[in-house]
Amino acid sequence: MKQTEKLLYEQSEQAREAWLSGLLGEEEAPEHAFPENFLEETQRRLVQSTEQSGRSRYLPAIAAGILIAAAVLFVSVRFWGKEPTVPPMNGETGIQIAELATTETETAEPQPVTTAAEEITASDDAEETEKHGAVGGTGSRAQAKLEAINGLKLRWAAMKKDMETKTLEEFIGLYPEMAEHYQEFYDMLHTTNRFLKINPIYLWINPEDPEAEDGNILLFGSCWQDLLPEGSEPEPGWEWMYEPMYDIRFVYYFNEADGSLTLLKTLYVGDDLMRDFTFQVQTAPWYTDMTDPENPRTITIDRETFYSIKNDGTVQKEAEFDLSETYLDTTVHPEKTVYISHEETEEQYLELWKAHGGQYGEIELGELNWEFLE
Amino acid sequence: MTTLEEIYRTYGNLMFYVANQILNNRQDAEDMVQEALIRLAGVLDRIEDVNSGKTRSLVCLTVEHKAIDLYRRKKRQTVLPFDLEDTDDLYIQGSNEIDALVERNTIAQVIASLPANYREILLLKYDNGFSEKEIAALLGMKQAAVYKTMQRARKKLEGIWKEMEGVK
Repeated sequence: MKQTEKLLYEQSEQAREAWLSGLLGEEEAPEHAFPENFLEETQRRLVQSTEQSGRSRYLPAIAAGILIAAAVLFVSVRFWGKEPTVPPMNGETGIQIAELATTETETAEPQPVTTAAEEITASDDAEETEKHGAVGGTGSRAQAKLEAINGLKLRWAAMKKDMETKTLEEFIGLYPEMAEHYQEFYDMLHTTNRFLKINPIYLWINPEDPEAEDGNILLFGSCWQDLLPEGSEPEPGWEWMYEPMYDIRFVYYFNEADGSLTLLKTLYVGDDLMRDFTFQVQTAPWYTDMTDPENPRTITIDRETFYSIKNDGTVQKEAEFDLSETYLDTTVHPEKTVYISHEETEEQYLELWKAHGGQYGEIELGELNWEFLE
Repeated sequence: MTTLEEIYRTYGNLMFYVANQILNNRQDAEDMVQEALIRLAGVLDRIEDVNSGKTRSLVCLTVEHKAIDLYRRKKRQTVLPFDLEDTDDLYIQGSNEIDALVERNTIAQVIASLPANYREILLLKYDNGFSEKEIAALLGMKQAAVYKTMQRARKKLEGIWKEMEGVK
């Protein structure tokens, strides 16, 4: 155990007493006349919030799964052509799904809302059609997969732009998968003198060997970062917001038959959902930073380590990547996998390791180099 | 198991006092007591003795967190008559404060004097024994934010501790 932790365990009781005595000293808190039905009202609100929470638990995930697949294909079809080496995917399917996506959006928001992606698409359509011919035809599995990935990239780039220009209701209507998390970011963006930066990260398995049997899990992520205007200081207590920390991973299943994507899981660094990650995912050693969608950069990170929790509860280090080299192997295992991605996860891993009867310090932790965000 | 009513009967006045010290508004303070009670309902099974110091600390930390949250929200929307930082926790930065702490010679005092967000998370973790997930649920924070705040709190504590050792 680290010295600071030991100290904290030893001193926490005295610290508590020191703080509590500072609050009131030896005095009792003055009597306060609460409203007569205060407790009843509290209990009523408690029941209400429990019921609401139960009802809403699964709806966002279902809606997100449906809409994201529709939107991704829609964007993929309309955008295709940005990569000159890859032909467009089947247009008919894309158009059908595009119609579905439009209907869903209109139901949620009476005023038609166009995404940044649609605006970009509209201006690009004529040129793209001229360059690549009409949308249609079928590509190979590799091509379809690359197309789906490009759809994800474009969706993320559009999301970044829409976040700054749409109302909250419009934004959630367009990107329901973000509904659960976006409120606080949006509030911050629009009620404070700060702005939010999204650093999208695109990862996928085995980009150069898409024929591989297990290469059908796509990992798509973003890192959220709150930035201060130049020359400002963070408000005390909110300093943590100014570091890249909201690390989100969307795990998709790519259906090779029809080129569709299904959202399997949304994962957060620091979240217990990580423990349910049932795929061993070895990511490509690079990703594209779309901080500036006009000038995407390919970035290499140093090292990435994956651990898996076996069904018998043992934890095993599965792989460590030297990300300065191209790593192309791909496997999907049924074991539960822990994704160790940055320094905060040392805590996560410690908890996890303890939960499985391990001892702290026995495992070398993997770290991502986050310097790319600076 | 402890009930919400027991918590309310035992600590209602204290909770109101803590919230009102921060908000200086009766209605808001009552609202935050209610919010805190709702949060505490989720951890009632972890409370062994309603009269213990741990429980007293737990309810105070929870209502304090809610009250500061509300204060900050309101501060963003309107200009409040006074600045919370004027009455907020001691921020240990200058050498005078360090010297004073060395005088008292106890790391417990340092922990108790940390900014509220650091102190809350450290005490909930190391004194009350809550997991990061439980703390996140109790305080209404993202779990990632709990990790980050805890890491910063420990770093700050380490820094102060090293400085204290140096002064000695």
